[in-house]
Amino acid sequence: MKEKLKELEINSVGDISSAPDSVTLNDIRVKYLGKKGLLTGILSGLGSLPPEERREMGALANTLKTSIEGAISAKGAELKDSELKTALEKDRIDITLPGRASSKGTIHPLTRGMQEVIDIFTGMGFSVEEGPEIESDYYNFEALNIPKDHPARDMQDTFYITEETILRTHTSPVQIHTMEKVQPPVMSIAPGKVYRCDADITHSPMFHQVEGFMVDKDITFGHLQGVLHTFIQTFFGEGTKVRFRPSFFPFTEPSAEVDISCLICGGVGCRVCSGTGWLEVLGSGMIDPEVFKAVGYDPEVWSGFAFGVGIERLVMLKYRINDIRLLFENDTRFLTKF
Amino acid sequence: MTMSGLETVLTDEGTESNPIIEVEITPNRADCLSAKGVAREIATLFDLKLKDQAVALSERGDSISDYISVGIDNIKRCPQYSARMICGVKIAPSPAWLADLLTSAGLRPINNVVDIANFILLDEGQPLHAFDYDRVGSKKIVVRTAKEGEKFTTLDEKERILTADDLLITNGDKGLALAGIMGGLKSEVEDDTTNILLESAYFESIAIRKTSRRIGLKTDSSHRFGHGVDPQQVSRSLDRAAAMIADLAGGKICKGISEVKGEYPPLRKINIRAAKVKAILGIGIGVDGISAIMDKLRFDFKVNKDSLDVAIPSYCTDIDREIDLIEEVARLYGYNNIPNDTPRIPTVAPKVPKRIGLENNLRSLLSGVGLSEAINYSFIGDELDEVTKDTIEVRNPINKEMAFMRRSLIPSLLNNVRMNINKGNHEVSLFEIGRNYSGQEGNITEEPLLSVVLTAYIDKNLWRKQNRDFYDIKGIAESILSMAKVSDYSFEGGNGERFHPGKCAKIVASGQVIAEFGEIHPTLVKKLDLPLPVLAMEMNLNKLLAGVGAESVYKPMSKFPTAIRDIAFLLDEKVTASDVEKTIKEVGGEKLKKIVFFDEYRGKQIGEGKKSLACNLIFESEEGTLAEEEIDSLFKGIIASVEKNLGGTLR
Repeated sequence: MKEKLKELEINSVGDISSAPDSVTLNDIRVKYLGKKGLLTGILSGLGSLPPEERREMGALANTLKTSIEGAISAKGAELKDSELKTALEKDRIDITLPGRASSKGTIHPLTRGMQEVIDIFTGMGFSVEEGPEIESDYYNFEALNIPKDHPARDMQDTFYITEETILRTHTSPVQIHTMEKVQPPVMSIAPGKVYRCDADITHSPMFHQVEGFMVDKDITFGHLQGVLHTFIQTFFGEGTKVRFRPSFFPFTEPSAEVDISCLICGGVGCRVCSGTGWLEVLGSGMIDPEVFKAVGYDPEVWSGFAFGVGIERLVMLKYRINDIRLLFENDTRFLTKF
Repeated sequence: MTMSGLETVLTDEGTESNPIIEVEITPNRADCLSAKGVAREIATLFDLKLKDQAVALSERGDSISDYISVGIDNIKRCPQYSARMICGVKIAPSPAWLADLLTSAGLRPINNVVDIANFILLDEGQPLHAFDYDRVGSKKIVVRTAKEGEKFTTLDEKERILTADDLLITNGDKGLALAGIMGGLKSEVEDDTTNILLESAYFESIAIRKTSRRIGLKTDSSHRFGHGVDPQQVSRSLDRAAAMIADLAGGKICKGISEVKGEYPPLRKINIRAAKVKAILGIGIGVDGISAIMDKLRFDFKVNKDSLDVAIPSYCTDIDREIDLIEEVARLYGYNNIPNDTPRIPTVAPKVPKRIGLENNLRSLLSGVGLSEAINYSFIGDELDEVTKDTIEVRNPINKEMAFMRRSLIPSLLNNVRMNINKGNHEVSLFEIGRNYSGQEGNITEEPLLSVVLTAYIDKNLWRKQNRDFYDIKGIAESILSMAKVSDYSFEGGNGERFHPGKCAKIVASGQVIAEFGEIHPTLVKKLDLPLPVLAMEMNLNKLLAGVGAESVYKPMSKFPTAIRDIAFLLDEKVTASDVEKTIKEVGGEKLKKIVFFDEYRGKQIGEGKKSLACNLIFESEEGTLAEEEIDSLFKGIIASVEKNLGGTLR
């Protein structure tokens, strides 16, 4: 009996380790441990043995059963593993083919620029106001201290619909509409399209502006500088150098143009900044008392500042676009770059 | 200089010993429209002494009253007109120093006398005019307003039609020069001129600007008179020029000046308060600080306890009010010396129009499904959009293609499609958010729109086998309605003007048409010379916003499984999916949760004029699992109803 068990042990080890696949392994299991299996037979034959032999043989047989089961289990796991590996390898695909329906939609760079500017100012507390693009001469010029025949009108070539109805040349008229509707304190920005009769590589007959203003008691030029300084650091990055330079707008007094250190050369001087090291990005100033008078605010009580930025200019600087016309051609190859 | 208000640049022209700087003069710095003015500014900034050019004049000719007398009809328009005569001059080219100086300033040298007049204009800021005395035609100079419709030919050989608002220098009868703007053709200094009548005057500025604007003629002269010249320069410039003419062109200066002088408005005195300076600029420099700056400017002033009374010199034509003086204080104090400050901000959430949030969501949605945002000019030509009485026309457009304001965004987008296809970009998927403009003066409306165009062509990259069609754009419309939570909408047939009459639809929500979409009319596609169909949609965003429903509220989902049955019918062409859906819904009742159409088929086996429509019917109940018999019975009822009401047969 002992020899028989020994023989079974050796054979089973051999059979199991050389099983090539799960199916064969299962046949082996059946051969030894199945209903008519070799070991099963021996176990059931234990009853015919004398008691001391029965005990000894029984123990040996059960040990062998456990060991065979363990070996089959281990081999089974091993075979499953390699069979899985083979099956997965068979399923391999060419991952370098392009993906399906890759969405190539984009938002226009001018919209992105506009939205970024709006977000920065609403973040500071400015509300957003809108107004008509087809405006009256009064709201676009006269209420902004630009009477008819004023030389300042030459600074902005206007599109006319009729003598008194024009396409707005800036979004400043929205300021006037707002101040007519509400009492100070007030702070709002007016984003939108504006129109000037001018067309070349850096000028477009239609472009986008965001203008803003703030009116309260004791608003000073220092406040104007502070707010715009914050805007510039946020939009262009911390550490951007800023300088305010006296200039002229009919609706602000004092007026200032705001420059930043050139984005391309860092202030050393290059073609983009005409060698000056500075780029003009904003116009601003303290709101002229004549404008307050036009809307019924008392300039002895209230003061305020206003500013304006051209989005095309910002976007062209930021993305190094050198021809403004690209922004309105809507060539899909250009649009999908953003 | 740039940092105190005049952008100044060292140019490439000029040499090391004779550099040329260019100064940009803003409209509020008319005082710097001359070398003298710029020198004055430099003296202020660098604390230098200002010295006027000396004028040495000797009158060796006859008395001027033998030659000419001056009269002014409208003294308000011309408070001073002064004339001198230089007799016996020789007209010749100017000496090199003068010719070079004029050239470097961008002027063309003409002859010694004319060049001297131009030189004085550039140097002192006072425009002068030289007449050929012998061509004046009389011994009188009369300054008067023109007669309505009076004709006058300027030096540039253009005939001008004048009005009673225009000022003329005449010989008592006919016009000699358009005052302050340009001389006339007939009385100019020519090569054979021997006697010079030299004019130096002051013309009221607003009227000069008006005339200049109206006839569209801007000159160096009109530019300076238009801003207001310095009254104190008028006589001095005349003398200086006369002396130069005698020097360079020979001749004798007649004795005396023939002139009429009226009253100039008194010099302004402005009170500037230290408190106001602090309130506007944020710097508390006090009366002492302000005084120091007024000293720098060489303004005379009187100090009070809290303010200054400042006398504004005659050459400062742009300083009218206290705020203008405060600007002077700011620019000389140095803007960058004014410390940055933080204003007090109200603690209210900023208001943003709802529509803007909607627009941003639309951009995210549409770019997410593969469309790119376009921005087009608001102008359009008449090629692709009919001009109606509500079309707004631009009187002075940039060009013919931009002569009208667009009433729809689609024509511009179709132009984009055309341009892209010409460049080889066949798959065009664009959207634009912008306004349309329509109406007549006094009643113009601007509506915010969203428009979409898709070319039928699909990029092979997307692994799709079929071109895009009507249902693609309908899918986009449905996504938008779903995103915006428009609760109550339906599709109706569209009109076939811009669109293919059989392939377009309108979206109606809350009783309003909010959008129209479909395949662009083949005639229009042909007109644009496009090789493939184009799908488009235009939606009114105000109307979309009005249809937006309330936020969704959670309703518990059914715990019980759904039962799905497929069904297909053979129907007449004319029967629509919507008809079938209505019929099925009536029978299906509450337990029929959804109908999803998934196939439409036409073919030889089915026959002419017929089609097959297949759909999923999804049954569900909140009360329990639906029994087979129940579903069967509903199913039978549905089939029967479709057969009876729509003439369909089960496939």
